[in-house]
Amino acid sequence: MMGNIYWPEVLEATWQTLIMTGVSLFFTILIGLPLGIVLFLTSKGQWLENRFIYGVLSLITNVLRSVPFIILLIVMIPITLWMVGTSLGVRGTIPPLVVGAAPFFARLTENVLREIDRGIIEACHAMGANTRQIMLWAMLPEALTGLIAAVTVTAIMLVGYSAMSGVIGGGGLGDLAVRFGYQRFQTDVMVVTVAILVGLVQLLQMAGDRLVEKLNRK
Amino acid sequence: MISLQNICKTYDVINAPPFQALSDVSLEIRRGEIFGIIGRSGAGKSTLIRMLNLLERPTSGRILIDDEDITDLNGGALRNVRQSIGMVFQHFNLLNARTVYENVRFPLRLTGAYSRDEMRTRVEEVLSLVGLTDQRDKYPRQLSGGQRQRVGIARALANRPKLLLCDEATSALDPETTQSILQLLRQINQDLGLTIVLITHGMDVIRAVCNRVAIVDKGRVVELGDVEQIFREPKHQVTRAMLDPLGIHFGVPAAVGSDT
Repeated sequence: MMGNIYWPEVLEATWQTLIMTGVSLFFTILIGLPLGIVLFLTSKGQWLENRFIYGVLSLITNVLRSVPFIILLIVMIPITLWMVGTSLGVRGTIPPLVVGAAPFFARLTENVLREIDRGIIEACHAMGANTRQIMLWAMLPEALTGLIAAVTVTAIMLVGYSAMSGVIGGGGLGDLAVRFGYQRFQTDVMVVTVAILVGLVQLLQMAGDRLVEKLNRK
Repeated sequence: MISLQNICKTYDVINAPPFQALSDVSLEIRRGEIFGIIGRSGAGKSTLIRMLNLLERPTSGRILIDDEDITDLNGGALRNVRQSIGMVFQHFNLLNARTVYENVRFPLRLTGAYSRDEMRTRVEEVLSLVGLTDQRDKYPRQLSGGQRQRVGIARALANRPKLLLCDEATSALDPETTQSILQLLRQINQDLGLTIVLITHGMDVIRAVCNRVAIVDKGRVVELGDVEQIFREPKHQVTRAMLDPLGIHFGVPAAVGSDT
């Protein structure tokens, strides 16, 4: 039944998927969080409302979010080559993952910030806080649980995207599933990779939920 | 101490003529008094109190605090003025992710002028002033409405403001809690000599704590004077209606009277 499975390779592929997800999640937050904050601050009704900046950033995030990831992978190849020297393997997959996920995470961030009670922002202004203080000391702490939930959703999306990159020669579980499970009709490899992916997603969701619950108790 | 001169505020409305929230309001607020602004909802009182720390800017007119014209202040200068004015809100507006202690410390941190020890001393001082010393490590959601408003007051007092603004500070509280909060405001006013401006839609609040009161209706101050005198002889019809909604003491209310 499991005759085609070469476990060290499965282990290696799982590790690669974790690396791809982890590293791209890091850069996704690094880019998406500030982008989401700027989107929020410049949106209508906020104190730094700026139609031009908001319009431009909003357009960019919408365009990037509307490109199907498999297309983005291909379109990005020259840029990826320029950035990391290869469009293959773990390294070659990370730039398109970040470009695909950062706009998504930015929108989630914008929405989480929007959910914060306006009264809290008004109180901060009334106390004479500047924008940096309002953001770092009041809004981000208030938004923490919402942001963790957003990170969880994004991480899970990245697991899925990273698997998709197997189609164009990215590494990880997707690569294994495509080369063995799909191209060589080794159904057992397919089953195992899918099972591991499901397990990963489940673990991420549980970890995220638990963290939110723990921080929410206060 | 505070002088509002010919304040007008209009809001642009889509597909309608601009809405005049305040028209030609002039007021003098004296140092050390508790000044009440009362009016029905939509009368413009909320806009009016927000002018005093420029959460709202007037369309025209000047705002002077201690003879300093603050109307056109911006950036750092505006933040400095705001740091010297405390504000208390109807819905408390506390940081839910922070403890009582951290909430009260917040305005002190903003100034950057206090050391860690100075902040701790000051926070403990104001917490004991509002009677919440034993609640310092709780989160706002673990407190009752009255306790939360005490945190709000402690936060507003932390940076030793020269003026305290109360925006419907008791409107979300039950009558008993309202009394205790009003008692606290009166005590702060007497002990610290702090000038307080409050807005409310309840005449009982005015009667309980204010020295002087302005009655606002449709964006105008229709009556202004000592609380005692206004309760004794209300002149304007709106004042009468608010003092006596059932028309028991001052005859039939105008709205009903006009039908007969």
